[in-house]
Amino acid sequence: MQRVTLPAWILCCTLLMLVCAPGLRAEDEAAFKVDLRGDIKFFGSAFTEDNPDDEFEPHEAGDYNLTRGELHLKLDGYISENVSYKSLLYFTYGVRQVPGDIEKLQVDEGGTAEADEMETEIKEASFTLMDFGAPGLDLTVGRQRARWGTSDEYNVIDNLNPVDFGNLYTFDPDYFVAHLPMDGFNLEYRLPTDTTLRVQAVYFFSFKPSTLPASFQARSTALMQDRLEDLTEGYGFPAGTAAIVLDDPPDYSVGDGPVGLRVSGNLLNMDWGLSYYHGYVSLPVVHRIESDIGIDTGATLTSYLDYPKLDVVGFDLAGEVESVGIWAEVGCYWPEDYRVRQTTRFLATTETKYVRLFDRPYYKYTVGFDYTFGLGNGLYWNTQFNHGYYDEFRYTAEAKEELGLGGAGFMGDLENYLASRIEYSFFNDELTAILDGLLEMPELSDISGNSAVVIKPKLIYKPYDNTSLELAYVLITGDRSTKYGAFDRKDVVYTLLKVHF
Amino acid sequence: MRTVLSVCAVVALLCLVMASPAPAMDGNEILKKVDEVQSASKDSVGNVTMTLVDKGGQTKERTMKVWRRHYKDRDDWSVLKFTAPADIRNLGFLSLADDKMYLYLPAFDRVRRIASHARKESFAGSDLSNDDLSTGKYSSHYDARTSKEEGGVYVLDLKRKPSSERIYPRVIAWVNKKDFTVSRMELYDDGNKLWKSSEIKNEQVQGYWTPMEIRMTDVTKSHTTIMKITKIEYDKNLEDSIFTERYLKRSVKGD
Repeated sequence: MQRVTLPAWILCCTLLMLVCAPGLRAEDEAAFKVDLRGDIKFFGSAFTEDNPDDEFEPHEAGDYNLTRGELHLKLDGYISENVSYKSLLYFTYGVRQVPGDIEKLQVDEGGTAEADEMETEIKEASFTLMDFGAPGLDLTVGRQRARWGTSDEYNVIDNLNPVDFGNLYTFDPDYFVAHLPMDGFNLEYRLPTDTTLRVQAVYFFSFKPSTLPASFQARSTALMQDRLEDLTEGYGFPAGTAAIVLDDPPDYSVGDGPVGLRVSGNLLNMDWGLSYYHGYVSLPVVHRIESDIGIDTGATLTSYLDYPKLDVVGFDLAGEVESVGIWAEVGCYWPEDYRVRQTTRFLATTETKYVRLFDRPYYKYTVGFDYTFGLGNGLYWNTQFNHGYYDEFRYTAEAKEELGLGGAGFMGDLENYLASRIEYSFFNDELTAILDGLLEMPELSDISGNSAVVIKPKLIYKPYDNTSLELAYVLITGDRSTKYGAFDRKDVVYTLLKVHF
Repeated sequence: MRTVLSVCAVVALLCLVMASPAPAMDGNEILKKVDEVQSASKDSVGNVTMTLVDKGGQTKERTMKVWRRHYKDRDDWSVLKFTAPADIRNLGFLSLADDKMYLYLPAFDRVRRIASHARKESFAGSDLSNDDLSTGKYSSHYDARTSKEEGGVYVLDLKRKPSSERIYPRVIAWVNKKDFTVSRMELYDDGNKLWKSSEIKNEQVQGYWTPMEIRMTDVTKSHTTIMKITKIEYDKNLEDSIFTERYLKRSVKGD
């Protein structure tokens, strides 16, 4: 009897499990469904003209500017109806596989050579609790991007996540004004009585600086060197050295992370937002300069950089007038009262003076519009005027005079930009032709004598679903002292290939 | 005798009146009926497959999920989220009015307000424009007259109202007399040339007439788009929270 009962029990349990499992699975099927997607991307850009005499990037026509492959993996899903998660992983590898170092060609103990560079980055890893504690209250925790502003491409109030300047001037469109992810809390509350009114509070755990363009240190040091030579010219001292040093960045502590608060809604069919940001300037600015002048040793000039605190009050608006899309943003920037200490030591004397760096407050703003003309499939036109780019500040007259700051260029004074783009699609969106233009105007009163122009014709071809091929030419011309004019004779042609899965 | 004759005359008159056909419906009245049939339910949620067919016969497919709330006295609300292909999965479109639309771009994780001029643009590369998916009522944008009747069908000639910004200045619609569903449409451009034609198959689901298949052909390009509803449910009491930017950003749960 017992010999018959045990197998019967096993059989019954197995049958029971087989019968119940589909029901259990059906209930949780939607909850546990994971969405794994991604894309593989290749970006390559090459110079189109010779410029062997460029101080920082000498090149000839046909030399690669940048070649890069990327694999992006996105994993999203729901734990339950109200809990979702999101993650984004980037694998980036350089295409150049011939290192300039014999050591890297040698095989290590594991049997591989370090000829291939690859970086891995978690771009996003967050979970969201919806209706958390109250209907309409969402809490997102983890690595994320908190984007503010209603403007189309350039947002003056989007300061919570620092800008990725390291990629900005690679002309890779995926990195155009890309921002770096941050870790923290993002709380959003939608008022139950008004589905458009929202309050958002963001706190990121710690400060994160912007990445810098590839030649930042070389260019900054060169500028300092020029300044040193100007200072010591005619005195007969031996040639000195200049250096820049990152000095005392914000602490890795609770109080040093950026915070933001935003209220947004809709009034008279216009979306509006009012925001406040408290954090740090994401770019390193000069904090103190020390120069030592020795008759025998020559002069040394060391510039110490730091990140000043910053408050920004912003307002943004988007809507339409007579079916023309319009938007505007304005940010009132209030950096801390930041003074640069200049110390000069010569023989037995030491001279110290302070220079206020920023005007307080200063304003950045943008206004724009877009419209589709009823020509064929629709000719799309988008135009935007910006005053003050992400890397620009309003320096005091004293800072410009004493420290040589301001002017156009990276981390220069506030400038004006007019950006315009027209797009037209053919063959049911299989082929899109775009003409992008940018006019950089450091001074509105002197456009003809001091400006730069970027023209970018582009074709995007999508022969099949989930594939796209992009080909573009970036033509830059203008005054070499402007931000984009510095790229004169660095025109590139690029290709961007992508497959989604 | 005179009394009998009078009574006969009255009876004859009554018969004549009763035998006369009811006065024909005005084109605008028919168009209003069409709107009523299309917005009869309180709300709906469904899955749609859209197949693009080029003149060589090659096809591309998109699938999406659509939530819609119908209103009698104003524009319907709708949310549309793509579920395939991968490069547009989770791309979302929220429409609260003809001049209040939002687009969610998952690649940038941002919601963008789009102006009504975007109605002129093609919807996801198909032969339907964004205007074709508009939630506005026909009767708000067009004046209609009945050009003819063909058997059990009214043929309406719709002319765009001066205040409307619909992209088709003229539309001819075949409306079934029995149920006021639209079975066929011809859409004309600004030069009064035929631009697109559509064939619509309607079926009743939960008692509501539903355009289960729409076949739209751009006659200028010999390109066809076939939209099929693969699943639909009505009167689900959809919450207001679905028709918000917040919901638009949520990942769609594929079915």
